[in-house]
Amino acid sequence: MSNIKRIAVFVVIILFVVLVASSFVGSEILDRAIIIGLGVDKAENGVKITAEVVSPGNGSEQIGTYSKTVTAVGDSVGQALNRIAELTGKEASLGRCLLIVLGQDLYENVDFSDVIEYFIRSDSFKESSAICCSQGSAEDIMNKGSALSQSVSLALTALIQDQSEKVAIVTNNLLDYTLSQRELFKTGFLNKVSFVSSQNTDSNNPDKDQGYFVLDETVVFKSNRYLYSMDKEETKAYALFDDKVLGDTFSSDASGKLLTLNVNSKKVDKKINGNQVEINIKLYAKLARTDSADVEGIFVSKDKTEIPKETIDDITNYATTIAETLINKQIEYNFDILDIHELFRQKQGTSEELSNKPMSELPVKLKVEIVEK
Amino acid sequence: MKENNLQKFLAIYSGDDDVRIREVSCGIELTVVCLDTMCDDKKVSSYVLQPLVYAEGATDISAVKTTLMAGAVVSKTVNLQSAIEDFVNGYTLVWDSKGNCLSVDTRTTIGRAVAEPPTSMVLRGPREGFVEDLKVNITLLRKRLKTTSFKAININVGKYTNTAVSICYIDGIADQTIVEKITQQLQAIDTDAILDSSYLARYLDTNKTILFRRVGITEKPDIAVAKMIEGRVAIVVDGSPMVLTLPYLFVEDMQSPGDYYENSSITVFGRILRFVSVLASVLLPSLYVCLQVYNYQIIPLKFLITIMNASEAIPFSPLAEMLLVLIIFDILREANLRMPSAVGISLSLVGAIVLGDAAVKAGLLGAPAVMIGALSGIGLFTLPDNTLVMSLMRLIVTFLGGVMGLLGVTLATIVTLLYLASLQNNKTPFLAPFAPNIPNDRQDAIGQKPVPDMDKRPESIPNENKTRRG
Amino acid sequence: MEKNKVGINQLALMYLLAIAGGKFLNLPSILAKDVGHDSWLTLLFGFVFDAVCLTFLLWAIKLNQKKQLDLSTILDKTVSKVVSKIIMVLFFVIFIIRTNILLASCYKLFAVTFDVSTNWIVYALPIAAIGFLAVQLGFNSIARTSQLLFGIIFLAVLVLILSPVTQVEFTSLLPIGEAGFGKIVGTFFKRSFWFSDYLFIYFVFDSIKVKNNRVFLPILSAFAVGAVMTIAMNAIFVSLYGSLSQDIELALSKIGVYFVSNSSNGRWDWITLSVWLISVFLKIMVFIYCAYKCLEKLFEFKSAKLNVYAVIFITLTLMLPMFVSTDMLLSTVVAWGMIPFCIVQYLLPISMPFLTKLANSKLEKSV
Repeated sequence: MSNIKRIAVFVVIILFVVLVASSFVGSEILDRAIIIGLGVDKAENGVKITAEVVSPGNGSEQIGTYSKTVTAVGDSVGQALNRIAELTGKEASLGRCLLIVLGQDLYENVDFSDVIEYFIRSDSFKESSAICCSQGSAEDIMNKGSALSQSVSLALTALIQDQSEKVAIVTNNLLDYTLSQRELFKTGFLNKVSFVSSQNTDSNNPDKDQGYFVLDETVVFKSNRYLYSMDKEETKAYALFDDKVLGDTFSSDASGKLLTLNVNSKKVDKKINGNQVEINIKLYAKLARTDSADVEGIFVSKDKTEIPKETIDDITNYATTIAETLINKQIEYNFDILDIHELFRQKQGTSEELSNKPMSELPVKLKVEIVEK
Repeated sequence: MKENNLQKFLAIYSGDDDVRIREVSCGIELTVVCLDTMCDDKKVSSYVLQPLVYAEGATDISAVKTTLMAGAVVSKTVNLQSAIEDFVNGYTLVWDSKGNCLSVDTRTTIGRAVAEPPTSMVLRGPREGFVEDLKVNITLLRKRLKTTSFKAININVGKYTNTAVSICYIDGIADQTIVEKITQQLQAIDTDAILDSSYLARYLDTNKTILFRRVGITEKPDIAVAKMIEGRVAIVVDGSPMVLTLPYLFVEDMQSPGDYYENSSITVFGRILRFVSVLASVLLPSLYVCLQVYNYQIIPLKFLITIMNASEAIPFSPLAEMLLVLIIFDILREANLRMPSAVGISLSLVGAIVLGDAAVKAGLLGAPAVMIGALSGIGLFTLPDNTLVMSLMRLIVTFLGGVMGLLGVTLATIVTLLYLASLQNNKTPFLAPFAPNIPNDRQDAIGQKPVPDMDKRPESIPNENKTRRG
Repeated sequence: MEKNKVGINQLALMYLLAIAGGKFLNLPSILAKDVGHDSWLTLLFGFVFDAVCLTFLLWAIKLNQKKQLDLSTILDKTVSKVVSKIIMVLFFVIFIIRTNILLASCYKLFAVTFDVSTNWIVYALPIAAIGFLAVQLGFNSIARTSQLLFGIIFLAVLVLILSPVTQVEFTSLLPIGEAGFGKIVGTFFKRSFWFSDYLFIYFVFDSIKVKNNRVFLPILSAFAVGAVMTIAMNAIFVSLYGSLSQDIELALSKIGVYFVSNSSNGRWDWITLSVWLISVFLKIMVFIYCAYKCLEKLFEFKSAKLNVYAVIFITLTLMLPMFVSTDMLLSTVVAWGMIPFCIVQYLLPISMPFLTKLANSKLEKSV
């Protein structure tokens, strides 16, 4: 009897283990097409997706490019991704996607809310992924891997995420962008990336395209529709308003010498005064040199001034002018990337009236000040 | 006529060629018996035979004991059973014709010399280790505890082996109820043979734990004494160099003999390292598997690409691959233990390098898996007492991680801790001083206060004297 | 019984884990749906309410130190056996539904975030089995396990909650109280099933070891820490996700998206998330323990071994989410039984000191 009992217990345990083992279904990394970057373009009837997929195959070493791009067309993002799964023979996995690039054709001509919705609602997709739009088609950008000799997604994400706050561009991620298109005045921006060709230095492949990405313009959207494209100077002005962004440089020859100032820290103060918004920007700057800015800052005594007053005045004027131009553009094209509406919301609460208030009814008073520090 | 004890004794040992019988007369007729193999010839002749042969006029056996016997230990044995016990232990028995008996200690001292124990080497600190001889072991303890409070209770366990067991403790520190309980537990043991102290350990574990060791084991007298001073009871078993200490805490396994001979900061660092390496050893293989099967997002991108590159040609699933690595490591370890030491080193090198490298090159195993398996295998040895248990647990956790993902790993962790937390032996919770939290005892758990600042005895070990000074 | 004894500090840590172990997944989005960015105010109100009830309950524990009566004895002696049994039934339902809610949200977390797709039985059975193992090993084991894991869980939660802080604009919580006080309080009562984590204390009422008469300080400080943590988590989540927050059902799995800013690093936040998950499982264990004790009191069986029928019954009730969605289960229960449940959750603790005193004096008289 006890033997039968023992066998029974053994069989039950084995059955349970088998049941558990067969009931949990995962998919191994090799069964997945791990997408690290996506380009979305407009296709005739829907979207064209160019995915950069991790592609192993260099033995245990990982030298050179380890990704390939796959392009597929579908009625919607979901369908195109399914098509990618079919093409690669693996499950398309977005969990490691770092980047979304929107093609010019797409963002300038159609409302791409459903594209954004697809990603933001996807559970495995990381909301902090970088998002930008491209000069030309996203497919072209995604296929620049060989020109860069590295993964486009990694390079571009590094450019967007890591260089923000250092080289005076305001950058965006999916979450912030999505929220900007859903809330209040529903306007927001995306960085615009373009590829610049450089001279070929590879004597083995003289025909090979070589170059780098540039990210110095921004495009403004309202409810995921194209509104306005800001040029370099407006983008620079936009960076002035963000106190997290440092690294703005200004040059002036007003004092007779050509001097360049580098902004080390910044204080942006926005407040509502009556019906008017007051924005005070205080830039702490010093002469730009090739030495490490921080180290020099520590050793220079506080009262030492090097910047002539004329230079400061000239640059203040310049900064004020470009900032005011941006504010005027906001009024002209009716967009709000400086969060003016948000200031009112914080005071008055959300209301339909506020959300629909045009920028022309929300006057902004601006003051820019440069302090040597 | 009724048979007396001598006749019974001779009847029991008739036909045993090892028994030597010598008749002498010193006024009364005496029969001297000893075991050839268990007694020292010199001792027999100088302590027993010489005095008897040259003497005359002894009237009875008591007189023989007080005036003639020159041995250090001479006792008058009343019953046959205890006479036989002494006899088999190497005592020489002196019988008179009425069946009265004296036993004289004439044991030989054949045995290993006191040497550094191979299982607990130290960089600094005493190098003496216990040997198989109970007497020597007690000597080693006594040498360090020159106090009247050192007590040893001797009992014999095992129907056939009749092994001498000594329960040692310090009177006034060790909790008497625990000493009594342990003595009772040992006395209640009904078994054929006790060949090593680990036999007793099974009987002393009231929870009948199947996985974890519940009784402390040490080969070093300094450790045994340190534990006795904390209120523990040491159990020395004849024939075993392993001395048991009770009650036992899980955290003791994290403590190394050398810890007390280093600065406390170094000790703490070492202990944290051990703790982390054990944790990593058990969890790393399972995480490696479950991250591959379910949660690839957690793996950093570059490492993910490395793994993908490495495992593309592997014919196994990640789970099977990892289990294979772990089992191969266990096989190597097991084989290494049993190999003669002369070939051990070269063979283990062959095993590790050739097998690992060749398996990777042959495309049977991925390099990251081999690396993680090896790291985890080596990390376990920082927990010397429970290495094998942890190795088994690692296999189970890895299996669960591969099958159920993070859910399996989490559940396995909870079950293990729940089980460990429920264990309690002799009023001591197994996971003290962390669960339950006993702030005083954390002075020497993972962290360690400098020795002069440890002024209280651990509360988790029941004791009768709370402070260490007096 | 000795194996169910629990120290007051252990109880405090368990309570803190219980607070942390259930409000971080579904609740933030549910509250955001109802009251928008004012969800933290609902929580604040809920915690103030809880604090009052808890203080009374602790007072009762203090009064109970001499005789160490258990809940059912106190109720039997004071409000009659029938009422006592009804209260036990209510408790049983509360614990089972809460366990189901926790199980369901974890199931969703595993399916959605961790990609572990499986069926409910294979998922729920092992967890239930661990719950019963805990019942068998005694409450003390759960308490000790919580104590052991407390540090690492607490750290994990803290890291998860604080990781997005630099990205958060707390000004988005302004203006305070936009949703209106009535709505904020109403939401609390509607969602009261997520509150009152102290309920499990009833079932160890007779086994609390108190040192130096310190009852209030440890538990109330644990409560305060838990409350602050929950409110902070909610505020951070809502400010981070703004209008999206009502659609994000698994708040804690999303809150760490900025955990390591460089995106080629892995999602390390999910490792901390799975550490936090242990607290959810501990909470489930505690609830299963309490549900078992309810049945023990209801049917008056008492043995050293687990009662097979009780185990089967509880296991079956944990299979409910296979047939009914937990949302529906919850809304049905709220619709039909909000008042009785509020009595057990809020009125009973407030009257507990008086009941304890009454039961004690009655017992003394009868002696």
